[in-house]
Amino acid sequence: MKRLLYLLSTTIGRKLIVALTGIVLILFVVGHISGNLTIYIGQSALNNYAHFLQTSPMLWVMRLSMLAIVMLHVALGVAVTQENSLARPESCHAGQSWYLHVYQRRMIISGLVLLAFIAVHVAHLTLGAGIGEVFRLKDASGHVDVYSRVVTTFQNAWIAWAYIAAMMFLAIHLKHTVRAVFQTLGFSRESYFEFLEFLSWMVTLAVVGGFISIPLSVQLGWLALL
Amino acid sequence: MNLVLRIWRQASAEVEGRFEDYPVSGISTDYSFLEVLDRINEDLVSQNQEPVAYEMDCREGICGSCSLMINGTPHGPRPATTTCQLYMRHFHDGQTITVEPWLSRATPVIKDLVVDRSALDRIMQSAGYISVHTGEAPDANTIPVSKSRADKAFVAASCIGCGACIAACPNASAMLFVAAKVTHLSLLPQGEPERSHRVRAMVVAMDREGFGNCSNHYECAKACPKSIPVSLIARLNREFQHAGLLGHEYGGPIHHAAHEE
Repeated sequence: MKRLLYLLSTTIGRKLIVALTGIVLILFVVGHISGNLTIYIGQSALNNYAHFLQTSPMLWVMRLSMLAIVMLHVALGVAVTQENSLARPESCHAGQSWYLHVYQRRMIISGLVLLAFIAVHVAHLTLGAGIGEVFRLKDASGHVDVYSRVVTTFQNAWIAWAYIAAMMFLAIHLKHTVRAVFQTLGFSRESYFEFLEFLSWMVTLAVVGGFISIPLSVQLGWLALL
Repeated sequence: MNLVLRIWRQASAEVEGRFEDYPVSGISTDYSFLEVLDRINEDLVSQNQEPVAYEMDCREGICGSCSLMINGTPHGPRPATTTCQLYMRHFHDGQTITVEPWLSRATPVIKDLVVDRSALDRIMQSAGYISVHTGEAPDANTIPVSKSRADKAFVAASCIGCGACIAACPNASAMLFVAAKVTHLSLLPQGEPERSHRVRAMVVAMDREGFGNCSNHYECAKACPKSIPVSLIARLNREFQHAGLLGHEYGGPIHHAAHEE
């Protein structure tokens, strides 16, 4: 215990926790998109999948652990960012353009946007804020009709494009993390760097491409209310 | 060639600094960057003005004294080059070149282009050494070291401690410096006995000085005049985690019962 507390008191220890919670979050989004893609199999496939999740005895264990992990990830991420801005008070060198400065701060910026997105996303799709009657619909087998919730929501062009924009921030965040996680966990073989870079792109494109495809498909009329 | 050097002038840490332009003409392309500063200083001295303070020592790229931010890049635009080994043929005639000190909270300005890098010395003093009895040098090859280990340790040991990594880092992190120093000793048998104490003490010293964290931008390795690779930062992370989780410095003495009748 003493050892773990000691690790947390150092900068490297704090980043280790950010990385470890980040791995859980990466696995979460990979699982999340895998589940979401059942929407392309059909209404009942998505609704059955949602029913399976909602009736799982682990539901609240998972929800509360994810909440704790997100909070830990955000709190330590913000703390590390604050330490970093303290360490470099002179923000711009000659020849350093503002967009480079923004680029170097992309993790905290995209991270805070994603935090806001998660809050809105959960309030909207899980708690039903602003959805109205559709939230209470049941499908033929008596399961909650998540399919209709999703399609009705994304038929609103504003929501669809805001969602796509939020996913761009997820792309920025995810692209940086996949390789950085290996670095922070101490995996240092240089011969793997190109592979890890490739893996970063693949995970990012697969996850974000999958998420974006759903609002796009609704907007293009490929997914519609049955 | 004719150049304008836009140089950061700051009389002391207590007063505000500002850029001043110094036109200089008749520069040979074979001048090193420091020789251009020498020319400017000769002119300033002959006009009874305060010369530009900057640091240098060996002028052959091995001491780590020269420390200039040239057009926003530590040691200037050439890779694997110190400021003293940067020649004017890499600039073009009529160019305006901005010269700044390497600012960060842990390395404050002393005067003009000179910053206080004693934070790096304090990190080294914390544990960047091996404890041995001095005496005659041992015979060669009495301690076996594999070729690949020796090569890796040598890459790390080529760090000259100039601080370009800190200047290049958006977070002013000293991770590449500490990684190089920890790695070169931890890879060799002489460094093994103090391995976990060393990494712990040097990371704590690094944190105490107020350097930032590595957030994996890898600007440090691009700026490093000795091309220290960022993979060493991963190795530092691993060494530190290993020391933190398994190192014998923590967790108290081993349970060892004495004989009882």
